[in-house]
Amino acid sequence: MGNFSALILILLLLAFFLRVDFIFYVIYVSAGVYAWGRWLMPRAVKNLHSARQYARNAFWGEDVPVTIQLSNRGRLPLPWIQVQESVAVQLKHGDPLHQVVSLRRGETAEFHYQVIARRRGYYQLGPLRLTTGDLFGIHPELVAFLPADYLTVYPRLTPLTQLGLPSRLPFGTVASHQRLFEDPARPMGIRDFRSGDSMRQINWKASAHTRQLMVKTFQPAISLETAVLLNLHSADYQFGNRGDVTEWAIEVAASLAAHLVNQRQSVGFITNGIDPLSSGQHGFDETTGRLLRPSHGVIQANPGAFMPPAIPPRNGRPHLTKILERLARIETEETVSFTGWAANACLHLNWGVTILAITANGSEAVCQSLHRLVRAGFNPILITVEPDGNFGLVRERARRLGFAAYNVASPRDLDPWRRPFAQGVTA
Amino acid sequence: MSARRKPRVIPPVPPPGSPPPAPVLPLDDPRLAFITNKWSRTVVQPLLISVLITGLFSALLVLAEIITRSDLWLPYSGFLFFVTLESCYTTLWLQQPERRLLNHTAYRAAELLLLTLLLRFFSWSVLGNWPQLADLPDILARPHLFLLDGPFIFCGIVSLFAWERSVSLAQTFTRLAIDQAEVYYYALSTSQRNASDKPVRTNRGEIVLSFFRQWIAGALILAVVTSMSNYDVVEIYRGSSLAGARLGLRTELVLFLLLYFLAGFALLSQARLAAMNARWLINGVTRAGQVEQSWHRYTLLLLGGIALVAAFLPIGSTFAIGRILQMAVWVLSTAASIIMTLLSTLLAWIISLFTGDPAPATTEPLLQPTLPPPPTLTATPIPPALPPSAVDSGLIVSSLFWAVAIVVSVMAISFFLRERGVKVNTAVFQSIWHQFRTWLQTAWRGAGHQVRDWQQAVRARLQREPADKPANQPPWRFIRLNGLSPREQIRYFYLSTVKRAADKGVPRQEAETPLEFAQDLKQSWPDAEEDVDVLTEAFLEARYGRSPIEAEDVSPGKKRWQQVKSSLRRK
Repeated sequence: MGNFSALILILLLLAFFLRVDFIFYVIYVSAGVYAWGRWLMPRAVKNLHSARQYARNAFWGEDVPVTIQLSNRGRLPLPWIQVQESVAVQLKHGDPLHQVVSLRRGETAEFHYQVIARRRGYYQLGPLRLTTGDLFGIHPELVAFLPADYLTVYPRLTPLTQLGLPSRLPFGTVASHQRLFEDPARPMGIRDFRSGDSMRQINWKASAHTRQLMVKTFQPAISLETAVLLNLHSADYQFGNRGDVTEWAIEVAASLAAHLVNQRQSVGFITNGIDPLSSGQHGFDETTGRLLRPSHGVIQANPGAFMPPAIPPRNGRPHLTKILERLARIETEETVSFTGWAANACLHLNWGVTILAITANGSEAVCQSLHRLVRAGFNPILITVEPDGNFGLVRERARRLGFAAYNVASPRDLDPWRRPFAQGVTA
Repeated sequence: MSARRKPRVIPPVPPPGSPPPAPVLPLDDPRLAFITNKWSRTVVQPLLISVLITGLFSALLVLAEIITRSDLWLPYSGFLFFVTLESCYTTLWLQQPERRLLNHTAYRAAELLLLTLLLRFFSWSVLGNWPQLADLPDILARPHLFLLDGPFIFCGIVSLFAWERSVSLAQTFTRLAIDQAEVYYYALSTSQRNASDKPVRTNRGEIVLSFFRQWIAGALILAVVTSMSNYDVVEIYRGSSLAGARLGLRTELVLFLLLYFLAGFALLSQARLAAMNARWLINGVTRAGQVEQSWHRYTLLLLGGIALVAAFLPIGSTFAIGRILQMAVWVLSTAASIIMTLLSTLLAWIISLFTGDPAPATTEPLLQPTLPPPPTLTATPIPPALPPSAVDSGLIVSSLFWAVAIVVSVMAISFFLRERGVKVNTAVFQSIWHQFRTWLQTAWRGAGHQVRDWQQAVRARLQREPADKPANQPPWRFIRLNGLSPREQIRYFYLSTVKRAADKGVPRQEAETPLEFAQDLKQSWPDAEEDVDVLTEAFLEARYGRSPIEAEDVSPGKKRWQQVKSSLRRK
């Protein structure tokens, strides 16, 4: 409203030429109102502080409460502030935060809203747009932003009870049906002495009590140091349902990793997908709020730059968090095919590590690649995620080449691994 | 900030699991807060509009006081305040959805008529010239003199402008406010909205800007009026210098100026709030806390604080700048006038080269002052008496005017009040009318009885009259003029003239002949000399002549008789 300054100017001229003292008073009032909006309101906005509080990571299907604190630390009150938080469509849960509030000096207002984790990914929360202005509309509105924060939504985890995976590493913590790996630290019961039993396993107290020799029995256990080898080379998957299948592959990988960590096993993660955050130049889709992947051409120019480094096998919850965060961001891309990549990817792994190779299908080339891992001293297990009507052939081929193979094309296929321990399936 | 208050928790938006909102919003729905600011719309805004408009137009009244040097104008500012307040509320009332079928133009006309009547009464009470009962004939005959006077006309015009401005501003704020359709539409969720129900988008920013411009224009007018009031305009017109004609600023004008600006700022804030409210509703913004109360509070505090601070600032110390500016303008204007003079002289010289030397101007001898001719004594002609028909037409026109004015006023007032819910109890009027009729009938019957008693008394007295009166004298009775013959009509004209003259103190002696009595009449009413002669001659012809008298011979005598009669009445 440029007319306002014109009014002040004309009043000033009238006051000068006609020498009416009182017009000066009106000029002072008008100039005061003008100055308040012109200089003091921006200063008040500078004293506006805001913070966003929420859990940075969320599991699939979880409600995430977000709290925004808005503090007016200046001496001037803010009659109105319009608060608008940008929330990704895939996170929206109820009406978005879009409110108007007034803040006295020193006052803090808290806004609460919730987002829901519907799909794995790395999402942007915010930015928070703060709009305010003067009471008369003389000056343009002032806009400030609280920078965006980020929320990682983990892939959906299917709780597993036991996998029954074979291992070559004894003295672990995973119970095994292979008596070879009985753990003397895990006594399970007693039985009658048989010829050939070790004298050190005789339970003398029980023998005295029963008046015949009894020996201790131990629970078999293995150490299942595992690496999840996830193939996300898009060309290896069928075009029709590539998106769903790769998402399922990621869920399977996350479920396996979570289960093994829960079993106190060391788990590593290696993939040939891309992590958009690795490039350092990332953006977010304004509609969905998800992390945007670089363009295909940029990736093809240097695919290795976008492939995340391998996560070596470790145990513990923080390590699982690291794997899940990687799995939340990972994307399918045409990088390096599984057959050319698997052997090199496992070079840094220790001897005897179980490798859970999750890929689309069990083709001859894939099986040959895994066979090379067998020969290198690893314990690969093939898990295919595309539906395969002739998977029996694959399983037979894998058995002949020295490793196990499973087809997990749908959540139902995970049921054998979700049964109680006694009904577990062995390879 | 050392003092940290406990954070104010803004209630979260309900999750989708909660029950869906009802089509009709509950009273505690936060979105209804956008339109439930009844206090602002029904009290604050009308008051501020009234103060603004009254401040603007009352300055004109103060200026009129200064020019006319009388103090009768300022009381009208109270009436202006009433007019603006009434028009605001009427506008708000007419904008209600249930008043859409009301004829707004007719209702506004009725309102204006009512305000005019009220202004008339107010003006009488201010000036103290209420009409007296003795003025009734003049009131009836010349209503324009009775109704129209200078203060009434001037204040009527000022009130009309104030009324129009007030109505316009009230409509502006009504357009700024959120209407029911917008609330209904935007309160629905996006999936429930029907595109065909979408209200027409109002450009409220443009409306606020329009109000702001109007306010600025009014402020400039007010500043100019204030500046003019600082000088004695009459003295300046008579040629006094500005310094000599300088007056002090009137206290009332200072007050009006201050009220105008503060009310304008407050209204600007209100307009801004209304526009923001609409924007927030349309954009789905939820209001948390008491934003509107804070808005009003901060506006009040800000304006009050700035006004207080401004009161302590110097206001005369900058006049040196004013003098410098004035000097600069004077130098510029002088230079411009010199240049223009030079150019015009040059142009005139060039033109004279083409047209030759101008002819010497012939100087005419000055007229010597001469004495005016002595006034000649001429007899002032006496204007002839107005014919009776002219008087009657004036009365008819004035009566018609009053009848129409009263009927229209009553209809307008009843229309205005009836629509506002004021109901007149007609039973009371019917009862009064019935009592009046009863009283009239009783009085009429009583008068009839009285007349009969008098007739009987007169007859009885006449029967007892002495015999000195001629026995053949007919008793007094009403005469139907058209029932008489032409001869008797002329005789009647003359005899009635004789009777009227006797009533006026010029009786006819028994021995006087008609011609001798005509001399008496002419002496007493010299302006009716000719009429008396004609009437007497006609009477002599009718009384003593033998020639027949036709009906057409009556009308000249009748005219003369009527003129004589009017002459007799004037004495």
